[in-house]
Amino acid sequence: MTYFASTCALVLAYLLLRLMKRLQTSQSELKQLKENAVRDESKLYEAHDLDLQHLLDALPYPFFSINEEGKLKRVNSHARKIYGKRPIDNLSIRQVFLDSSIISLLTKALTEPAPYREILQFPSNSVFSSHSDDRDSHWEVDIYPLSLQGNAREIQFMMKDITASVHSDQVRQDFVANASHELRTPLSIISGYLENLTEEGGLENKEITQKMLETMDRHVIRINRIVEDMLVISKLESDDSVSLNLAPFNIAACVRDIIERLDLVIKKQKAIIELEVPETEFIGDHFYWTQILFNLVENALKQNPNTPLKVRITAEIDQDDNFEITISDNGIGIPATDLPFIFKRFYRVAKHHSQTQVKGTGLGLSIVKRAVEAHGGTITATSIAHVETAFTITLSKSNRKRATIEE
Amino acid sequence: MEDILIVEDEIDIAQLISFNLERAGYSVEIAHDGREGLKKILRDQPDLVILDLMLPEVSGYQVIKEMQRDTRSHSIPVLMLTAKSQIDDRIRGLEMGADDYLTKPFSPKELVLRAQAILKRNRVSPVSEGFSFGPFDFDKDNLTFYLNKEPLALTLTEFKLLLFLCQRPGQTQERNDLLKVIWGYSDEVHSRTLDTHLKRLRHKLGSEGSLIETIRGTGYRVGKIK
Repeated sequence: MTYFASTCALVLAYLLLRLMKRLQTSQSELKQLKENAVRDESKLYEAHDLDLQHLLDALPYPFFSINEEGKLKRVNSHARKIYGKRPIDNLSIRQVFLDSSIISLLTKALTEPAPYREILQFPSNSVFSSHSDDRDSHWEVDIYPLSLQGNAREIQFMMKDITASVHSDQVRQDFVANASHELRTPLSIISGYLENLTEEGGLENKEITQKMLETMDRHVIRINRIVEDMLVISKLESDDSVSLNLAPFNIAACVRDIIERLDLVIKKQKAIIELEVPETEFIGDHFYWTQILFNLVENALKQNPNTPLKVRITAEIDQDDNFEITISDNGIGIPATDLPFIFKRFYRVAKHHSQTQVKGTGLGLSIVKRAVEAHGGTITATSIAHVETAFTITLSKSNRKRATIEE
Repeated sequence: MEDILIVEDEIDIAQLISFNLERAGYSVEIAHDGREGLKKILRDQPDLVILDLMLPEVSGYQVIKEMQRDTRSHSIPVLMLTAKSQIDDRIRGLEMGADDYLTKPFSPKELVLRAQAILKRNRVSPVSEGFSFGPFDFDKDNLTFYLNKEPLALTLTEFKLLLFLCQRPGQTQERNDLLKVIWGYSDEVHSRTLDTHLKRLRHKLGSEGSLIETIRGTGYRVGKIK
């Protein structure tokens, strides 16, 4: 914001300086100029004009200048880019901006000249929409009027797209709200039983005490996982290029490790595990691949089916070195209406958990997706209840190579 | 023994509540989602429902809505449980007809006390009697209300509010007193809900709704009938 303001100030100072210099020049050289041909004078002016245009084009943001009649006088290349091929020169602000909030702000600046700085919100169908999805766009508009005796002779303004920062603020707020919501349930259980255990005679019944402590323990583990998942996801989201620790590892061994860690759940669910993973070396970040596969297998095991639960893990590397791994189950599945949202953070499908099960963290699948994408891969999900619910990760050779080179 | 139904999808929370209520002498039943909850409410007609708002299948709000619609359940008191900290969620629940709320994490002791308070307020006195006031008839035994001899579905809170006002015609009841009579205590959330309850009550009473007068800055009263 400060950078933006100081850029504005600098440009304006420069413009004023030029204007004054030009005035001085024109006074001292008036005589000489008068003697010159009209053709020469206009040439000089054109040269100045070109300089000014270069300067404006060098600005990092769209710039507009509007004359006292409310018509577009000058724009820089960034502003022109917004409109593509549409001609905008000499059009009125109404025709150019088509949005009541910015039109009324500009009208106000023209009639009551003063510097204005406002953040405006534009719907997704506006020319100022800078994003592909249907979110609103947010722009900071900085107006500097060049005023002459109270009436604005001309107003100049720059617009800065701040949509990304507005949205990341929103995302952060949602994340904190959701995370605290997720933590409340296990906290309720732990603090509730603590209250019971610490009251007079609370420890008298050994059996009940033991059961309470076991429940509390399960939910301490749950809080632990939520906190860990939050760390992993914030690491994955901290910047565009997650620093991956790429090294070769055996994908089949990695899967076997995970199956071993989930042994208790597998036994409890009486699940059948089918493995078809080649014993090949695979280049990737071992930590994130463990996260990815653990979350997907655990997710598959959580399905509560009517038939015996079968979880299949199949992987394949073809001749062209393209890698594909699928984790599927024959459980209750994911309703079609939920499928598009399952990778969103804290999104939950209203499904029947087996009754002794502790709920997940709500972050598992979003960690999976982001970790896969960090490796240059894609993940898709399909689901037919009780037949097959499958998550397929695809890593094409070219993408993987790129990830290696970056490393 | 009074029956309490817990509608909660987190099995460990349901068990925590159930353990504490059973210890306090209540008979407890558990439902794991909204649909099962509604089925059990209509079938068993418990004396109190402890309802989590975030439920799979049918949300807690929908459960309250469905309960209001059915004469078998509209007078069953509801204590809602919410993990949401926003005041608006609680107000929404109370406005929809819940009798009280607790936010997670909650103290089991407090939950038992609140449950006891709600049940005590709703206990029908042994000598049940009817009460009539102008076009209104209150059947306190069945918690049924009649407007011009026609039965009209009022929530328990609305029933109690109207009865309390009608038993004291011409007297202005202060907001805080009303809050204490209906909910046992007053706080910001309940205070903001009071007006909504009265607004809806007036609406349900139609042309007779004008019998309830707002005394600006003080409270409400029902005028004397000439």
